[in-house]
Amino acid sequence: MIASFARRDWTLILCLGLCIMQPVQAETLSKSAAEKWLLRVATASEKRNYTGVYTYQYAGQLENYRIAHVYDNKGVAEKREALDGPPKLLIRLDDNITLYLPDKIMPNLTRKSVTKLFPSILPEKPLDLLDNYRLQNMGTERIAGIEAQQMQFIPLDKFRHSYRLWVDPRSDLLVKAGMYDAKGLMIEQFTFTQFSVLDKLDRQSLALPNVVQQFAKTKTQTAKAQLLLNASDDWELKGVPEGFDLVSQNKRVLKGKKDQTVTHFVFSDGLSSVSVFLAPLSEDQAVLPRLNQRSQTRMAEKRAAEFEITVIGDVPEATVTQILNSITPRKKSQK
Amino acid sequence: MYRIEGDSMNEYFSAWIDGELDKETADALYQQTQLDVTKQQDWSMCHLIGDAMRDHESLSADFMTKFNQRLAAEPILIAPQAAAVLNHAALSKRQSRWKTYTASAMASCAAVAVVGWLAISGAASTNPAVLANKTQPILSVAQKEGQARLVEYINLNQHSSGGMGSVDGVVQANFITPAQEQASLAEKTTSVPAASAQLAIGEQP
Repeated sequence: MIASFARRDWTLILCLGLCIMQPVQAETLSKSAAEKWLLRVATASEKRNYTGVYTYQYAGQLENYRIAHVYDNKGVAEKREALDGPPKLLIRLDDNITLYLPDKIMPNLTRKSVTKLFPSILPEKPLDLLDNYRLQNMGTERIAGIEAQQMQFIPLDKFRHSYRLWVDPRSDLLVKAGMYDAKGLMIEQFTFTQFSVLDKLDRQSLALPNVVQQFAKTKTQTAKAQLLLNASDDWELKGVPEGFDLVSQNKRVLKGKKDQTVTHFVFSDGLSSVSVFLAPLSEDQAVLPRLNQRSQTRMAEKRAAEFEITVIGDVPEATVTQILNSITPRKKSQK
Repeated sequence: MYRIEGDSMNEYFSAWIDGELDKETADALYQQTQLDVTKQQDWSMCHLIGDAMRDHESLSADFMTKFNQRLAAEPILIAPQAAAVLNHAALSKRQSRWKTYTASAMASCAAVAVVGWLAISGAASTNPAVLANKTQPILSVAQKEGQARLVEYINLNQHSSGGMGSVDGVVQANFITPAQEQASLAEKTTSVPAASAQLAIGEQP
């Protein structure tokens, strides 16, 4: 009698437990629900006015940034500044993005290649992400004083890491975002420590000409590359992992060696990005050291057709290897 | 002419390095240091700490071991000593204000140095490659060049995607050169107690 009662009790507790656990249990979103969610969140980070302070964790470092984002009848105007260490500034006027650093200015960053503009980290065409990731609702968590909804982006193949995004349910603004490897170790993470969503924010209040002034003496060091990797006579591009598109190519002059100009290509799937560097081989070209496995950055390199090709990115090993293998010199049989 | 004695000596040394001493006191300190070998050692130790924070080449590989021994030998300061020790007429107002900020110049010097050293040697790293790095701190010109190029590549990769951070010294410790790779493999097979050796840096023995 007592035994049967206890068993029924136990079943009841289990049922109750399951009921309580239900909302927290991870639930994969249907395609239409995922599409709606992506559009809502991508729109909010672009079309809301907000200010805030966020931390950026990467490679064992922690940096604080202040952001002000204006959306008015002229479009987007955005300013983000480093709060500690040497002055760093990123100005965005719609799709015109310029990064100001103490040692260089990088203008004309393409919106497609720029994946770290927290909270606008979702790409222009967010729905394309569903070709490579599925979305899983992870319940709520308290971030920057609000109950944020947590969404996990689970990669559909081995070529990208997983992401977690936390969203303010009232404004749909992203309040935290992070990239994690297969073991769940954090690679990079952005977190608002404080933010305000505003009805209106004046473009003039950003004082852009004034803040840019402090970089007046910094060298602008980039030029659009003439070489097209995927349509060149010299190189063939075949077998890049699904979803990774060539989004930008620039010539960069390396700091140490005055004369060495390398061509820098960026591939991105909208969330992850990978760099490819083509450096002409000189006679005394130094061998690049290998990266320690403890570092989350992955690299692969080879020498071909008098060039050193280096692939670097915060992506799984398989991605850098496959991108490296996808670049081969064309055989010049005619010559 | 007056004598500077005991614990206040190190404080005067720190003040001297920072250019906080007036000429008279500095001269007195100089003459006393000339006569005393122990004080000369103290003086060079204070300079080494400064060098450690600036990643100076003169720093020997076993600096931290020596430094730990010295730190262990230092008396533990329960309460900050009253400014009375330094109440010399020659000290200006500015100097005495500086004094109150530094409970013990040597102790604060030490704390900063440990932090500085950790940043240089790769914070709390138990990686044998990082430790192996210490046994062969000199990189060839070609290795340095390769490393500089890789740092630029990593930074360019960050910046092209809108990242504003840059890798610095701490991350640089994560590079492996082919020689270090062999050394780290050798260490793995001979099972050197790498982790415990590294722990000693942060903790008093």
